[in-house]
Amino acid sequence: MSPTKILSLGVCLSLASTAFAQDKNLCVYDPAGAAGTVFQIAQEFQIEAKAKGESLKLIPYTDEATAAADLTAGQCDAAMLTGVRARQYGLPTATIEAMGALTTYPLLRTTISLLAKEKAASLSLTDSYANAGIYPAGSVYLYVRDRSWTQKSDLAGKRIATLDFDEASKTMVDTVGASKVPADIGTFAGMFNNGAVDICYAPATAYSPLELYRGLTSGGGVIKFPLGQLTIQVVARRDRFDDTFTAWARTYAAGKFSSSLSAVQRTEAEVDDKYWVTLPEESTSSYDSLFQGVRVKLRDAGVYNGTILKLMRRVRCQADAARAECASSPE
Amino acid sequence: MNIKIPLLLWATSLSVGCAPVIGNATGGLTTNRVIPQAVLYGDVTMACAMGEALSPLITSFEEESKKARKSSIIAYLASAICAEQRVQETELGRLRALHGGDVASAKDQHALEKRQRMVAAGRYLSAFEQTLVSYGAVEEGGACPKLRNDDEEFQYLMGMSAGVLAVLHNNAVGNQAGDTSSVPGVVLRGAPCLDSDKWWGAPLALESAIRALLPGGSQGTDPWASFEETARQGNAAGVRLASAFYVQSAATMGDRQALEAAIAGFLAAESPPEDASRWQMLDNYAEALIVHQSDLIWTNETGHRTPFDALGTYPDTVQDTEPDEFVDLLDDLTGP
Repeated sequence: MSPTKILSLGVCLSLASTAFAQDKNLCVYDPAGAAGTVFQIAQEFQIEAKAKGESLKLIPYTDEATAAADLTAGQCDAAMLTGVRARQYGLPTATIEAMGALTTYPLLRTTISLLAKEKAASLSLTDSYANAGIYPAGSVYLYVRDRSWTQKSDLAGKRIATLDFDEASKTMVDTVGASKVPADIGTFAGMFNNGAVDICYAPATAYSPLELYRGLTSGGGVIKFPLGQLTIQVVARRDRFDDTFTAWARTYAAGKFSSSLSAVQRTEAEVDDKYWVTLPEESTSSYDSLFQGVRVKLRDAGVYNGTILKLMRRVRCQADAARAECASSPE
Repeated sequence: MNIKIPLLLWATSLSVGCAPVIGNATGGLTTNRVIPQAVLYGDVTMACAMGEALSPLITSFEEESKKARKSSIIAYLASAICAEQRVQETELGRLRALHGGDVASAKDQHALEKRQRMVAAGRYLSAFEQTLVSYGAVEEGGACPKLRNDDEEFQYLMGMSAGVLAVLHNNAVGNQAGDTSSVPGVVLRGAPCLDSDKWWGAPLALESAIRALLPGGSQGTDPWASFEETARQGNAAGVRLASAFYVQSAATMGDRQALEAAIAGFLAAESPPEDASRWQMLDNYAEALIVHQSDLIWTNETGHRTPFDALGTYPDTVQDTEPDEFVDLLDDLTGP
């Protein structure tokens, strides 16, 4: 081979290696796009990831379905999605949002922290995807147009805006004998506000931006018993990110729990005090029991991961050993 | 007849004669409208820009107008805040450069920091001196100045505060910005002339700041106990200047524990009472001083300032994960 050809080959090879060092796409679902709080979390993550040798390009998405589709298609190397959306990738960690499983933020923090431990790494991996961090996005509550609807029996026959892709919610609505009214993230609030549905469920952070007080009017209420915890999860393709990085990312996210939560809690404080409905003790136990039944049903249907359910039960019992489920439980 | 000369004489006498009137009007407008609005609105950067812009106008009437002299106290102080903000950024720039090993940049920032401190010290000293011109310095065993209303008490308090800040900045530039040697004594005698309970603990906190700084200045008192009490007072009142003096003094004395406690107290303050909102700028300024002390710690240890919304956390205490004692909850869940 002539010296010129050797030199040309060398140049081509070095250019090729430069190409492999290009940014990886982190697709960020945030209803407010690049101006939202999830995107801010992503920006901080981007900086820390750079220190770990990963260059991320952040791409905002205001439509979560599109972000998920682009992750599946490989256009995103990783994506920040809600846990309910992340379920489709088979990651056990998506079950952290299981109905009624974690009713307080300390329980959520403990669970996220445990899932970030090296010992729990297998729970964050499938063949193709890895969980690269879980961030709190707020407790999910029932918004009812009549604040007297506090019993399970009160929900029967009521119209509930139900997200199409959320098997857990659909099962819950069926279990209480209510009517499912198909909705998506962009339509449920309008349906509640104009009376097309009697009940919807959403994090408290949605109260002001989606003006849910319009639907609550004077007689409505927000039932102060979390249906579950909304989370933002980083789903990373394992053919693009190695397991060492995603393990670090899980620990990083767990370490950011308080700062992520403080933004959520500030928004939650905007819910007018007059709308909160505190359940009596007997109703709380009744809902606990209802949700446990739903969780088991969904576990058996393959929607929820049984190991994560077991872990969350242990976390609940570690915090309160007097709970009835701590003596025996189908979970 | 050449009409130009009489006209010129007439115009000159008119302008000389009008200066006190215009000065009083300008000073009165500044004191009664501009300053209260700036303090209510709360934007520190805007207020300092106002100070830089208005100071030449107001101070041009100092000779002729008492009102202009008095309002120039706040104008000088506000303009000093601008210089102080520049000091803060260069200080952080120096620490960032040091952290990154960039010696030339650290030296450059240090030189710029000192130049800005000269400006800040000079402006704070001007505010303090105008206070003494307007109200007099309290002599040893002497009487307090006559402060006729809240506006004058406020000017006096700000003037005393400016004195303390002038000392701090001037010390850092080897006293090249002017003579501040008499300031501590004047503040120690002048601050008690104000009702500390009325003014959110700030007058007593100023005294404590001077006592903590001076060798032997405590004279049997415990400035740190006083700081804790006045900070509590200010925090409850929603105008947390006393906390800012506490934090600044703790930082100057190198007492990290006191500094962290003061910041924690500042953050733990309940929602302010409604009437605190008219002093919003003072509270925001207090926060800015405190944030800067936090930024110094963070930049020194990590190379970057306090992360957003993380005031009250420190680089060595950022761990948020649960302790390993809960790791046994994972037993037999995750396979070999």
